[in-house]
Amino acid sequence: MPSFIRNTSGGTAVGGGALAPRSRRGNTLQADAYWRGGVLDEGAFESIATTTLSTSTATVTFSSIPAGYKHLQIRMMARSVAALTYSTVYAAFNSDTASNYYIHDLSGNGASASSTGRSDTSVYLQLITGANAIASNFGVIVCDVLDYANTNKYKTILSLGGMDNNGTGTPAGEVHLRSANWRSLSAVSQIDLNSDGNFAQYSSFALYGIKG
Amino acid sequence: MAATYDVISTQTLASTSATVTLSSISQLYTDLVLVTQSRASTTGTYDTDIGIRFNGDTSLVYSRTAMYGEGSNASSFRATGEGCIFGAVHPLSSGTANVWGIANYNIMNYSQANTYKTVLVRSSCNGASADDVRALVGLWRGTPAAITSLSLILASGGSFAIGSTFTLYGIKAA
Repeated sequence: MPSFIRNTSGGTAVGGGALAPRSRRGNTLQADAYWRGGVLDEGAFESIATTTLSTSTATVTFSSIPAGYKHLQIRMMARSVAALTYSTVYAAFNSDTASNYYIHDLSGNGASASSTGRSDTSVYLQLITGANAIASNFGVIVCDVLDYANTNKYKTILSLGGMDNNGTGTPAGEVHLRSANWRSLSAVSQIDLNSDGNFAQYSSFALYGIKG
Repeated sequence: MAATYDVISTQTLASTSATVTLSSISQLYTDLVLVTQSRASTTGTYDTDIGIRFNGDTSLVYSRTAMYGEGSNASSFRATGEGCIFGAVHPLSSGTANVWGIANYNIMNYSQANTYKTVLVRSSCNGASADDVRALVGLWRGTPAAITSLSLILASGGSFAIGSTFTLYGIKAA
């Protein structure tokens, strides 16, 4: 069973993996659930773990990530308490903080588009809002980690994210398409997410597994 | 493991429509993903922005920051104080025949009643006179509330063409 932990007090650990009863699924088309080989196939996109922060939290960790999927997707809506209009979200795999990451970034800041690339000690995943942004304004990120359990390949990450602050602050908004490479053959079993300050209350993080 | 990626609703236009509205959105999910493929029936050679608004809110509380490429250059722009998020770009009726614009909207934590809503959009429009690939982040600063309906409109006015498709998915966290 995967686990989801936070390294500060005030939160409850959340585990994933329970099959939601039909009664909780609403009146929707169950397009991703069908019978295959005599077994009910619940689809290729599964929730592994999630949380919404009830208090400010320094690090969000997805640990004991099961290896039974083809790809992972992280979806988050977050804000930091740092006294900035924006904050960067950093991701580290398997607690590796050495210079084993390489990052390429394509971004738009409302006036021009630009691109950068560099090596670093973590993945500069995306930008979110900081404490100086408009109240109740959160940045969003969708991040794919491909072939995360393959021990014959370095791992490649692709993320889209950004924040918009209605034309105020510096920056007033940015959107980024980022690719990163973790130069390790190890299966990804843990992902640590940090920012320039603690993640703020109501920030939410979800990890999904995609079957291959 | 629980199924997490459900179709909430889907529709293919059998007649032109100025507005496409998806209402009574289930609150059982964490995020919404809207996938569209459309073009406008409006006369014009080039493309048009597609606007998305939530809960019928037409007040000027939407803003966006975008980056885009048009085949020869890449750039970025920002717009504030708009009545919707103009997120995607799709062809007008005089554009190359059979070319449709596509877009993917990630509407994060849509039922969270304590935060503004931020949307990520990717769109593509390929035609001889209407090329645009775009990524965009949009903000809705309406009074924080769960999103129960969304509407799509054309910046050019006019209508979505027959055959345009709109599918809304719900993603459920554990």
